[in-house]
Amino acid sequence: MKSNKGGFFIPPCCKKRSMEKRGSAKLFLFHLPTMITLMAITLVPFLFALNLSFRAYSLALPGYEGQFIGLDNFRELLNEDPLFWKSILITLRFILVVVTVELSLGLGIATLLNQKIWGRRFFTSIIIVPMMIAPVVVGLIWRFLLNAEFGIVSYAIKELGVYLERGLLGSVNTALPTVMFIDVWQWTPFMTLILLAGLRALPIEPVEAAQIDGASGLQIFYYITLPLIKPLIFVAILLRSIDSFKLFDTVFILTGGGPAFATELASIYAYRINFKYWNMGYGSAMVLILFLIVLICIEFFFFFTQREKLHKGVS
Amino acid sequence: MKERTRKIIRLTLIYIALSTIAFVAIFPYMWMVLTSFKTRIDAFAVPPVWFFKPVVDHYLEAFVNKGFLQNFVNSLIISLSTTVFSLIIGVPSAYAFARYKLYGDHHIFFYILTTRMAPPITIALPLYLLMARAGFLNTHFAIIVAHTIFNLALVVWLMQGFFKMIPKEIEEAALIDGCSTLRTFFEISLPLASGGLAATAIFCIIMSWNEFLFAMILGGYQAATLTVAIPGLVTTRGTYWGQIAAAGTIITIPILIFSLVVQKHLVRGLTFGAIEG
Amino acid sequence: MRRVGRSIYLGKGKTFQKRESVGKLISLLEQKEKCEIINGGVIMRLKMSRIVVVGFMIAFLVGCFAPAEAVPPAFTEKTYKGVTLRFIAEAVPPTEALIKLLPKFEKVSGMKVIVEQYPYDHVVEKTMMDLAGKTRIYDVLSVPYEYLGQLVEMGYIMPIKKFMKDPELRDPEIDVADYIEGMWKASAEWKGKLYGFPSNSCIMFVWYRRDLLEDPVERETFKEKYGYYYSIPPTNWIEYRDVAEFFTRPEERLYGVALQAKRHTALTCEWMNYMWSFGGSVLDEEGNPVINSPENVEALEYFVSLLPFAPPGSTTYTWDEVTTAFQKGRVVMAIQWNDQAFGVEDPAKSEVAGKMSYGPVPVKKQPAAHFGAWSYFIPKLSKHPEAAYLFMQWATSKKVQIELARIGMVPSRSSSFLDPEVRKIPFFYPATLAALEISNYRPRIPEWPEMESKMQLAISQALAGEKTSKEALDWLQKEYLKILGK
Repeated sequence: MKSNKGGFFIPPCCKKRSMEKRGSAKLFLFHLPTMITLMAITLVPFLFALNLSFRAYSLALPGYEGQFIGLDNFRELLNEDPLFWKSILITLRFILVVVTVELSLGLGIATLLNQKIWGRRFFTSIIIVPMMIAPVVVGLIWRFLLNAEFGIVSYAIKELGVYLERGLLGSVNTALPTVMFIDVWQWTPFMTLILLAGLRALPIEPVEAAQIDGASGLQIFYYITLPLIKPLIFVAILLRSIDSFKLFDTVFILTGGGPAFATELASIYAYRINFKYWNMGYGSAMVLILFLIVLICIEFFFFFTQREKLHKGVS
Repeated sequence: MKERTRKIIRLTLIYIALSTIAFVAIFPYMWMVLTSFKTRIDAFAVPPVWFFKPVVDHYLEAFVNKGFLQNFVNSLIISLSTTVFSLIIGVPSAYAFARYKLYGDHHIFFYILTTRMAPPITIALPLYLLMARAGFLNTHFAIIVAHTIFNLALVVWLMQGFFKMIPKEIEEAALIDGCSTLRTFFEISLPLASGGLAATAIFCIIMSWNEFLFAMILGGYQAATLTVAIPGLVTTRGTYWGQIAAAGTIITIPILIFSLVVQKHLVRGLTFGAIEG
Repeated sequence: MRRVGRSIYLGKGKTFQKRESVGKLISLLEQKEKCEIINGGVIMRLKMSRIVVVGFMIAFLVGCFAPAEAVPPAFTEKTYKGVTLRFIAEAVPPTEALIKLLPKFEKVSGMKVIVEQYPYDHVVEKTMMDLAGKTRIYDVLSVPYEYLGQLVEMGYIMPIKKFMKDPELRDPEIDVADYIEGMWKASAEWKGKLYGFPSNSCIMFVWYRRDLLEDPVERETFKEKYGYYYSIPPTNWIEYRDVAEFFTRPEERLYGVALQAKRHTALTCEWMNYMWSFGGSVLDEEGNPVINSPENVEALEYFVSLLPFAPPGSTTYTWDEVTTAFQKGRVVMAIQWNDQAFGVEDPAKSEVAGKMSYGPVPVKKQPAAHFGAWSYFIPKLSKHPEAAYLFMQWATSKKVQIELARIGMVPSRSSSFLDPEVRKIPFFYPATLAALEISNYRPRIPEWPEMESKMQLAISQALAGEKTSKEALDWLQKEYLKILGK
């Protein structure tokens, strides 16, 4: 892994040396359990998958016993598999839309819930319900709700006068947006909760000072609150993007990747290759490429946010 | 006068907004709960029925006849264990990342994140083989291990963010006063980050409770969780929507309770006043 | 020797002779040492003589039940006591019914059977992982039959001939000829060797609303509009389409047909009925793919043309939604699985219980009925192969099959259809039996799962209008050549 310049946040105040020199032995102990667990259990499977990707290995086809074929899997994947690239495009589109919407909504809702109003714990409990439902169940519920004949949501839409020839999930144009909506519905609470915890933990002094100085609510929000919870926003975006990349259960139950290829996310395509075609050599290669793509995207993300940091600084 | 009207308007708007959001959030769940008490004919009625004669058949069928109760217990054991392990292992690490710079820190930090990035499918087969060789297949332990792996990255990264938000001054004040690093950690940083801890705990439990792939592959029959049992209701003989609704309702309740309890900790952080005073 | 309908089949071991006259029958009887006569599950051993014939008729009329537990010699409590058999199967009601009957088996054999059930996708996943990972967890499997080729070619399962021949293990009443031929060939045989027994099965045929199709007013209106009277149910595709169009009345929330048009196994299962009926097939006799043959293209175009007559949202329908559509009285006809029919015949769940009838798939060039099934197999690495064989044999024995058939599992033996209670199930007889005689089965070659998955995509694209039928099948043919050429 190449060294990441400013791979994570270093608030200027941390540059003081005094804290760093202290207790380096102790902090090593702090890290030890994590490192052991992760190394032991993720490294081995990862290497296994890496090994597999260079071989022709299939659980279904005779002749694919695992002989070494070098980069053939990768070559075939990148050059001769248009479906792979299609699925990547769909996935990227999905993530971009979903994370942006979830972040904006999450921030808005968190701010609302942060107000000193009666019943805010009640509202909080209700609003975070969607993310607690198992993805499998979410898929089944929405399939039920969106059923073109019996689903109550479809019924409501019809009553509003919108005619859908094939139902929301059955039409190539509306299937992906519908799936996006369901993901937003389910995971906005994730953002909300993180940001709410962050907002609650903020010290009130800077805010009070600014209010005394006569700043408006919006100005306070933009110049004070936002920068202070930036670390959390950063983490939230990162985690959510990575999780969306892996999204599988819900979409699979809702549409199976269809209609046609409309909702075939990369994770679904990879599942198909590994567990339907049983072509695990090829499948491992694909998963590794996916992994690389995620890595590259994260690098870009770090890069852009770091540039901002260097210029603006924390006030 | 004007000030009061403005306040009232502001409050009303807030309540309207929150209510709408809450409605959208809870509606599917409420509909599922209602469906779990409806007969099949009622469940599929168009226009939808709001008043009907409730039946408890689906619950009986799912939990008594099909043994979902056992699955429920399994889910409970696995999620709680995973959360506890993930927090114990991950939080110290997060703290170290937040406060101390070690040579090569970013590498480790990034590596931890990549463990979460790997699509579970990659790890599925190798982990299966590993567990089989180690003899842990089809036990709770195997699933707990798998879930902990995926949760660790979440814990480390999330808690790191929360720890970073605590002003350094507080901790430095404690250190100057003679507290050891360990004591500072336990008595100052952890309580200050309790909001973050609560949120992280909620996420861990949710992720583990709702996880499907590894619970199925590694868990086999004895350790089958509720999430694994539910797709079994989509059979070639027909989808038992009533039972799915019943199982879905029950599966969400423990999480709801847990989050209600834990929400107490999502409190406002301490102010500077406490230190300087 | 047994009676099915009005014919008498003489059978001993594997040979069949159809339709012997009674006179010839008597003389044949006089030649044989003993004969076994089946009457709805009763097994009686009678000595050869003319009294036999009379006794046969009396027994047939009276239908007495003599419990004769015929078990192979290997079934002693001692031999298998303490053995635990692990069995993985798909989570379908027949499996649950089998579990209810298990205590009997366990008592007789002394072994314990643990059953693990999963839905389709996962049962295949877990089985494959166990086999590929050589973890030796499962001793006996019940998997969809299309995996037969793959499992054999990869060396995962063992042939069972040696068990069948072993006098210690063989059930004296195994009567292999009793298994329905189409099922036996599809589920058990691969390249001339036997690997298992048929486990569950289901078959597709036409469901239709008898009350609507028989209604005189509808018939007359149809005649005025189209110029002829349709058969009940329609026997060819032109009639089928016209009837579908006629009954499509969105204002009344009624539609002519229901299609399983989701991108899912259900889609290919349904479409293959059309494919076979139009005279097409996936592979030719040599095993080369011919998926873009003119017959197939025609079949796909026809299928796509039916979509306007199906309820909106059909592109999200699998067999389950089709059943629901019938239950709510929304559709008039469909090509659907027989075991789903329990859902529409149950008054507690269905508004059309009692109004449904079942018939054969319309014919263009030949009759068609898509056969879906599971088979019992024994993994090569099974820890208790003999015990596994005994279990398989028991589960498909005549008595057990009849009991399972009574609760609605489609039996794999013709004799089960003779049982009067089984016959009462409305769609079992004659529709199911007739369809089983046709039993088109899908390719069981190792490459099939991948081919089937790509077929789903092709048909789905044609339905969505992204490609014409010809383009979709041409693409599929290219993919098949690639897959099979490897």
